[in-house]
Amino acid sequence: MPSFAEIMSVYGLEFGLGALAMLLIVVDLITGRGRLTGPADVVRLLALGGVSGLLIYSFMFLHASGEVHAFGQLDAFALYFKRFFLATTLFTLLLTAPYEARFSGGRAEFPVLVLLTAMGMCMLSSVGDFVSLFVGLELVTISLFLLTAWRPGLPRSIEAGIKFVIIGAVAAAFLVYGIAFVYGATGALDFAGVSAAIQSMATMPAGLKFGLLLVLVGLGFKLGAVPFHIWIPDVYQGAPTPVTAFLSVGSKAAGVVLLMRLVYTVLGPAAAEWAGVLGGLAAITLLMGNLGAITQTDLKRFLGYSGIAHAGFLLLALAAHSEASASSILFYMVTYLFANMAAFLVIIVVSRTSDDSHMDRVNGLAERSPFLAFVLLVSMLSLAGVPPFAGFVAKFMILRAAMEAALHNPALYWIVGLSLVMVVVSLYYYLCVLKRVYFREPEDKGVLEISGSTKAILLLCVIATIGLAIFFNPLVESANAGAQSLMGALPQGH
Amino acid sequence: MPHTASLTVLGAAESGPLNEYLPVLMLLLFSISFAALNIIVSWALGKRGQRNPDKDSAFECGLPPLESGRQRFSVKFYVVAMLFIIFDVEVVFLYPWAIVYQDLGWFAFFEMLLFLGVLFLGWAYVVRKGALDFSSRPQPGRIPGGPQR
Repeated sequence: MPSFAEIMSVYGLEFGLGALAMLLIVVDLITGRGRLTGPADVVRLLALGGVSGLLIYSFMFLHASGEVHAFGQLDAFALYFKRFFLATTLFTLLLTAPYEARFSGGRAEFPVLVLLTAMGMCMLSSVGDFVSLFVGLELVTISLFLLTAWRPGLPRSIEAGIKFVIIGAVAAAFLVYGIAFVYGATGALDFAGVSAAIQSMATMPAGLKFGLLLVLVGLGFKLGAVPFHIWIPDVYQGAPTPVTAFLSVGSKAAGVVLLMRLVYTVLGPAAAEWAGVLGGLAAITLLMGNLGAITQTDLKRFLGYSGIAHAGFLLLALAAHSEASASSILFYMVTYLFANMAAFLVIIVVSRTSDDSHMDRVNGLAERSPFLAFVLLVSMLSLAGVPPFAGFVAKFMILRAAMEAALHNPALYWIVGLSLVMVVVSLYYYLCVLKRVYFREPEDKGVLEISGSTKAILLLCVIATIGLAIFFNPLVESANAGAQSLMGALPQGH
Repeated sequence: MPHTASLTVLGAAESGPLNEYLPVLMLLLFSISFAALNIIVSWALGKRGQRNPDKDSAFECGLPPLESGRQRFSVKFYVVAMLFIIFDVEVVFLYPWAIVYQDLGWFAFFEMLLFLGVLFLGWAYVVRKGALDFSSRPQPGRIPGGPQR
């Protein structure tokens, strides 16, 4: 029986997030006098303050420990991702500020649900058994269902919500069925036990392989890997833009963190057998994501397909299966966070109504607001992986790790080659957006007004995107530490 | 035997963990065969092709039906039904807690206090947002019978 202090040492941040969410409800009930459109500013500011506080706390006072408990662990890998998720949540709440006026109701509840999602995500980064994994994943998914359908007056939002619920339920069913098979074959639910059982087997029995494949499918839905990507364009388009940003970064990272934990810790040395499956998924994901993005005319759908393409890169790194590739994934997620959040904030500013994110809205943006145009330039080029920006460093790290791994596994050369071709394709469609920004006539000549806070957030994203391309060492070191703890912490039995 | 064959496919030996679930499999087979038996017997013994008013009416435990089974009721009840399910399911957690309470001591006490605190907050939310308001007069900012706009 773990003591309360032990649990708090691992899940302290999650308790903090949960308590903050409860506090927000109490504040809303007191100040809002039960109205549905109560004063949301207090609640949102409190949420922002609380999450910033927790983020600072995680940097100042939380330290990674090598201790592996039955219920989870706070190793460098988990800590890295917890900070990442807190930063993502902070950005989501910041993005909500300029968007919130478009909600017809439930303004105070919105930050509460964002915090609960964050709680689930943070929990996922340190789970140590399949049951907690499922609970954490459902906490994330169910909160995101509600957030996706947050504008009940819009048919598109409802459509997105329904599609997300159905796909999410199917994915959860795959996951649970897979977990059941893994349990049937190994007799354990905790990662240490499953890993020990796998290592004691000469060959994996068919039931175990089937179970792991189903778990991979379940997580593939979260990650947005082809062929489990069909929900992404519609849900991204229909969800409120801050939620789309949250989905594209946070939800994807939740899939990544679990896949990494499973591939590196649970499978361990047996993962070599799975390189083919992961590599194949990476190849079709890269292909479909990049080719699908070309024809998009809606900014959010476009970023959805671009997100699928990025998932392909992450899968390529997973297939490479080395410490360097794990570290490159950690670095990649952070560069993706800044570039994506900047792009979504620009979308929020340029779209006139909540249901409108057509690409024509950015036409001639350079005339209307040179600053926004520059932010979009930095964001798109970083997503494409062009040298002076952080996205280049991230892609370079993944490709280098994959090339090193290809020495042992020559099939990877083909996927690396494909990914290089796809980088060129992606450059085309990202530049198409920039062509609209700089060379098309604007529909509306008026100067776009940007609030000071929006400007500050965008500036932060730009500085981070450029800064990480030059001073990447601190982040790379912290990513290396995370990867090391992931690879080194092969469970010591139970 | 069919079940051992399926177990070996799963990779478990004869003493594997799945053997504990043999009774579940037997229960499954029993319930399937019981249902099938009922259908077959009524198909074989029932006088098919004969019709009379009693046979055409809905079966209500042998009593004559009093009224139509399709009654209209207020849509407000859907909120009540949802809330009932939520709170009802939460209370299920009290039973396993009550069983191990002695062994776990104060830790369990405070944990359940925390759990009930969260539950209480949910109840306060429901009441404060007017989800249980059954007055038919619409109030500003509230939709009768539901917290959502």
